[in-house]
Amino acid sequence: MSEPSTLGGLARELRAQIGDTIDVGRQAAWYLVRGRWDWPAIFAQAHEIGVRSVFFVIVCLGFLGAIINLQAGFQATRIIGDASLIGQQAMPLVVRLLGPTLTGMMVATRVGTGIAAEIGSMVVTEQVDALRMNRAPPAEYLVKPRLVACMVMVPALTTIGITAAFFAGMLVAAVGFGTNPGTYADFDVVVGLDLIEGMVKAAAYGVAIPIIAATAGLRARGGSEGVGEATTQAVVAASLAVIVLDFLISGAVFFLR
Amino acid sequence: MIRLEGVCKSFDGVEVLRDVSFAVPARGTLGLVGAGGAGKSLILKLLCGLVRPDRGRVWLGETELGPLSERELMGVRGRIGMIFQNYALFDYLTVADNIGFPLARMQRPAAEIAARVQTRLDQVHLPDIGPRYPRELSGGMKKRVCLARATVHDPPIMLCDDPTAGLDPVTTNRIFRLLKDLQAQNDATAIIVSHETAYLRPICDAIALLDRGRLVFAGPTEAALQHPEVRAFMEAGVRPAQAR
Amino acid sequence: MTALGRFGGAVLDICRVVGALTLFCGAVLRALLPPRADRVETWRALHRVGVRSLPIVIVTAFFAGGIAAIQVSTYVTKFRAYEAVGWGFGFVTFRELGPLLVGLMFSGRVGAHNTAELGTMKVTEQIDALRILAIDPVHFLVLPRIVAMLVMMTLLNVIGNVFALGGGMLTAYAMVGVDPFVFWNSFTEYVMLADFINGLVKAAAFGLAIGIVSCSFGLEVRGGAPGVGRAVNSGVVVSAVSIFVLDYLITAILQ
Repeated sequence: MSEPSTLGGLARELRAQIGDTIDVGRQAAWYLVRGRWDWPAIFAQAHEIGVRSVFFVIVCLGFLGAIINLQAGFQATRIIGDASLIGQQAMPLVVRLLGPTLTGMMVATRVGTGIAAEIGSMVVTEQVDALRMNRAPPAEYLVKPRLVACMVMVPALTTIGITAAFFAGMLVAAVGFGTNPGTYADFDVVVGLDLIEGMVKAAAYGVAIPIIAATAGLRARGGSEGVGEATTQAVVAASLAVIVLDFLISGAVFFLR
Repeated sequence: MIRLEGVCKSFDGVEVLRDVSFAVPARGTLGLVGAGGAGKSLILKLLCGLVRPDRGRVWLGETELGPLSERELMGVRGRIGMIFQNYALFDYLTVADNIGFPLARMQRPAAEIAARVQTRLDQVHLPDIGPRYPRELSGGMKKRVCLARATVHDPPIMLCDDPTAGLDPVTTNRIFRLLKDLQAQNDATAIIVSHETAYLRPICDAIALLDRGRLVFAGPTEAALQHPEVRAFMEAGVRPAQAR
Repeated sequence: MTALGRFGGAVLDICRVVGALTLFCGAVLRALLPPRADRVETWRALHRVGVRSLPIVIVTAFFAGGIAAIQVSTYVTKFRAYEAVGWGFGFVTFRELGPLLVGLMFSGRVGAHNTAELGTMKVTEQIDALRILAIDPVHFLVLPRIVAMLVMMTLLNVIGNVFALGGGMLTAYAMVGVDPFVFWNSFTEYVMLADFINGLVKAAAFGLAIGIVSCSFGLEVRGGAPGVGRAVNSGVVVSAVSIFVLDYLITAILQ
C-alpha cells in the first residue's frame, strides 16, 4: 500500500477507498431490503455498539458541555458582565452541531476501530473467505447487522450525549458563574429545526460510519500489520466523513432557515 | 469435472500465474505441488471464484465461473468443500456451530444440522468437542474440525490448501486417511495442495507441479514420476538427507 | 448482582488503564533524566508524523473552519451583526473547534498508526529483539515518538489555523455574503493573541497525551493480529477521553 505522503497520494487513496465504500454500501443496501434479518446478530451488535459506548459518550460529551459553558461564561462575564444567559447561547449549538458531531466522532473512534479491527482480523485469517464459501456474503452477514445497529444506536447515543452535555454544562454554569439552573434550562431557545438538524446528522453518521469502517476492514491485507492499517484507515475516514457530512448538512439547513 | 484453461493472474503488476491449464476428471484426485509462493493457494481460490482470473477460463463441471456474478457464485460454492491453510474457523462460534455453519446458511432444520454435525465429529474422532471454541483446540484438532466443516454438506468437490501444515507425522497420516475416506464417501473430486509428497503419491491419481506461476507438468502420477523436475521435487521431500 | 459485578469490572478496568498509564509516564520521565532520546530516530519520527498527518489536518481544518463559519453566521444573521463574524469565528475555531477536531483526527491518523506499529513490533517479538541488543525501547522507540507528536501537533495546529481561516472566509462569503475584507478586519481587530495561544497550548497538550497513550497501548499488546486491533481500539478511546479532560482543564486554568 502506497504511503499517502502528499495531497495527491491522499487523493488517490481516497478515490480507491471511496469506490470500495460505495460498492460495500450498495451491497449492504441490497441486503438491507432483500436479505435475511439475523436478529440475534443485530442485537449483539446493538449491545456492542450502543450499550457499551454509553459510558464513553457520556464522559466525552459531559466534558464538552462543561467546556462550552466555561468558554461562553468567561466571554459573557468579560463582555457583558452577566453570565445568566450562557445556557441559552450554548444549548442550540450543542443540539445542532457539537452534540451530534462529537458523538459521531466518538462513535467513529470507538465503534469504527472496533468494526474494522474485527472484520480485518477475519479477513487476514481467511474467515471472510470461509463465509463467502458458505452462502454468507460479508455484506449480508457482517455489514448488515452493524449497519442496522448503528442506524438505531447513533441517534440514541446522540440524545444521551446531548443530555450529558446539558447537565454538565448546567453544573459548570451554576457552580462557576452562579447561573440559575432554571434560567439555564430554557428550552424555548431550541427550535424544532435545531432538533431535526441534530437528528438528521446523527442518522447520516449512523449510516456512514459502519459502512466506511467495514470497508476498511474488508480491505485489510497481510497479518497484524494489515489489521492495524485497516483500523487506522477506518477511524480517519469515518471521522472525516462525519466532519464533511456535518458541513454539508449544516450548509443545507442554513439555507432552509 | 474441474478445468482451467490459459489462466493468468497478476497482483500489483507482478505476474503470479502464467497461462496455467489442467483438468481433473470426476472422482479424480490431483496433488498440486510446488515451492512456496508458486501460486498453489491462488489456484484453489480461483476455482472457488474468490479471486477472478485476469485472462483464461475456469470450469467446475458444466459451469464456467467467469461470467457469474458474486450472488450466482454463492450457489456454485455450495458444491465445494474448502479446507483453508490457516483453518479459517470462526473464532466467535463453537465447534459445533462452525461445522454446522454451511447447513445453517442453507436453512436446513436444526435437528438435521445437529445430527450431521455429530456424525462428522465422530468421523474425525472428536466426538465431545462440539461445545468448545476453536481457540481451545490444538492445531491438529482445528484441522480436523476444518475438514468436518468443509465436508458437512457432502460437496462433490473438495479443495484442500495444505491440510497438514505444521502437524506431526502421526496427525498428518490421520488427516490424509480422513480426507480419503470423506472423499470416497461423497464420490468427490479433490485437489490437494501439500508438501507431504510421500503421503500424496499413494492417494493421488495425478500430480501437477507449479514453479513460480508456471505449470511445469500435469498428468497421471506414474507419468509424473518419470518427469525429471517432478521427480526431483517429489523425492526431495522423501529423502531430504540425500537431496542435500 | 451481575449488573453490580459488571459495574465493578468496568471500574477496575478504568483503574487498570489509569494505573498502567501512570507507570508508563513514570518510565518515560525516568528516561528523560538525563534526556537520551535517540537522535536519528527522533528526526525520522518527526518526519513521518508530520508527513503522515499534514494532508488530513489541512482537510479537517478547512472543513472545521467552514462548519464554524456556518454556525457563527446563524447567530450573526439573527442579530444582523456582520462585523462580528470574524471575531465569533476566530474565537470558536482557534480556541475550541480547531484544536479539538484536529486533535481527534491526529489521534486517529498518527496515534492509531503508532499503536498498531508498536503493537505489531510487540507481537512479532521485535521489541524483545531490541532488548536483547541492549537497546532500551523507551529511549529508542517511545521518546522519539512522543517528542515528534508533541512538536508536530503544535506546528500542525498553526498550519491548521491558517486553513481553517481560509475555509471560514470562503464559507462565510459563499453562504452569507460576508465580504472577505470585512471578515478579515473583524478577525484581526477582535481575535487576540490569547485566543491563538490558548489553542496552541491545547494542541501541545493533546499531542503529548496522544503520544503517551498510543505508545503505552502499543507496547502492551498481547495475542496476535486481533490483539493489535483491540489495542488500537482502546488506544484511540483513551486518547479521546484524555483530549476532552485536558481541554476542560486547560480552558479552566488559562482564564
